[in-house]
Amino acid sequence: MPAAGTPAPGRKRSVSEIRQRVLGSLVLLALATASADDSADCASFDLVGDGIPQPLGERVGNPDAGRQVAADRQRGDCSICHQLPLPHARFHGNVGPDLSAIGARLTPAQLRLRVAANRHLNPESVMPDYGLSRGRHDVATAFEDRPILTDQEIEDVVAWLSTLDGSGP
Amino acid sequence: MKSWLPILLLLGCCASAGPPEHRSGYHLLGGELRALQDDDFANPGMLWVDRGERLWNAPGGPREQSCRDCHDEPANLRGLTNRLPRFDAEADRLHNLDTLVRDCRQQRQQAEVLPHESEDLLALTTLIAHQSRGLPLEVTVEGPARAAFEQGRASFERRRGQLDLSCADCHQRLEGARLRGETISAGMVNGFPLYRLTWEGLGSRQRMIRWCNEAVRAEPMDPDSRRALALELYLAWRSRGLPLESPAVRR
Ligand code: HEC
Ligand code: HEC
Repeated sequence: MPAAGTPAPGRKRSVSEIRQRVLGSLVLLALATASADDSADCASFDLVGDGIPQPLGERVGNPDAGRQVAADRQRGDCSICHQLPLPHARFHGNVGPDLSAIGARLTPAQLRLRVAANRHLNPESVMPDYGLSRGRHDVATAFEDRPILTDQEIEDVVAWLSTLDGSGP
Repeated sequence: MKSWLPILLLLGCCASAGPPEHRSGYHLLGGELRALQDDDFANPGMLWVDRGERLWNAPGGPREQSCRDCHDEPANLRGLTNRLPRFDAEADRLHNLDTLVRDCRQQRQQAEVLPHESEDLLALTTLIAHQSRGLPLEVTVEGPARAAFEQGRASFERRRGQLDLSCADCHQRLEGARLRGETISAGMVNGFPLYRLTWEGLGSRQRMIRWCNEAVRAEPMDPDSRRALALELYLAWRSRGLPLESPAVRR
């Protein structure tokens, strides 16, 4: 698969830049009202620096399941914006940075924050907060008050991303 | 003035790229699709224009009147579509091509209303839009239309849906970037009603708005509602100056 992931101009922020903004601060992000299913079941994220060290809902992530979630158009659909080692996704987007070796660059805690609540780092970012459902407008009824991914799905994706070192298919 | 040359070249290069609101989706098409749009005999949208011509002449309603009985040639409506939506001060509302055709049919012809996105409505609207092919889009956003225009702009910029993305996120900030295999255009509306390969059919501007809203998992808008028409007005204003292409062809 040829590398297609050139970040769109102005989209990419360096990790050090993000660190500068949040390093050392301990922030509690109150989550949206918990819904009936298990998707919005955690009450808060504990931010340490630019990461969330604690697994969401104390779930254990499964990398294989995470690959499925990332590839699934109805769930993560991450390759719509990112280059990822997903042999089945014929086309990758180039809206976000290439993630083929992201596990070598970011810790699980950093990955967790970027998947669950990326806009905490950059409110302007086009990457959605996969773990939040608060403050959204005109959400279609079927998706109301639900984050895009469940805690388990986020942990699975984080576990998979952590394995990515650039050697993938 | 030699030292200015590099700067002028730089400016020239930026200028040729043009402001985002002046690039038709046509420019993102490959050569084959451009050829398809440009050739009236191959352009699949022309099937709707043909069908529209038949409907134009077909009598209907209690007095068995056809569109032709009142409007004569469809060509008489050249210059209409490129100015839509327009504000109807008397009714205190915006009209787009669909509401005009549907209302005329219901109130004057007194025939049954054509459902949104039905083949018959698209046939008539495409026939009418086609008459303005080549004319620049120019909508009025001043005076009584101003409030709707501002509402439309706010709607365009407001993030929405479970994915929490705005029209502007994609069609302004990400214009030219690739979303999976699809290059994001500036979101111009000068091609509508147009034929999309992914739809395997024709659609109106409102169908496109609906499609994009679905993509971000937002609640669909009623195509007759004030907010939907206000958004369409803003889209038409963003597309100002572009030649009407209907029936355009898009991926
Ligand atoms: C609509 C576009 C979009 C989608 C969909 C998207 N991302 Fe992103 N992502 C971005 C952008 C743009 C950035 C660059 C940083 C920023 O703008 O916040 C980014 C940054 C990241 C980063 C940090 C990369 C780095 O080098 O620091 C990770 C990790 C990431 N995304 C993972 C994911 C995963 C996993 C998914 C799917 C569950 C996903 N993204 C879906 C646009 C997207
Ligand atoms: C997640 C990204 C995304 C968002 C958000 C989005 N669109 Fe789109 N839009 C697309 C894609 C992809 C296409 C198909 C490729 C193209 O023509 O740009 C498209 C096409 C269009 C077109 C057709 C352009 C043409 O040349 O035929 C219009 C008009 C449009 N969108 C308007 C809107 C409006 C209005 C909104 C907000 C309600 C919106 N879009 C939100 C991604 C998006």
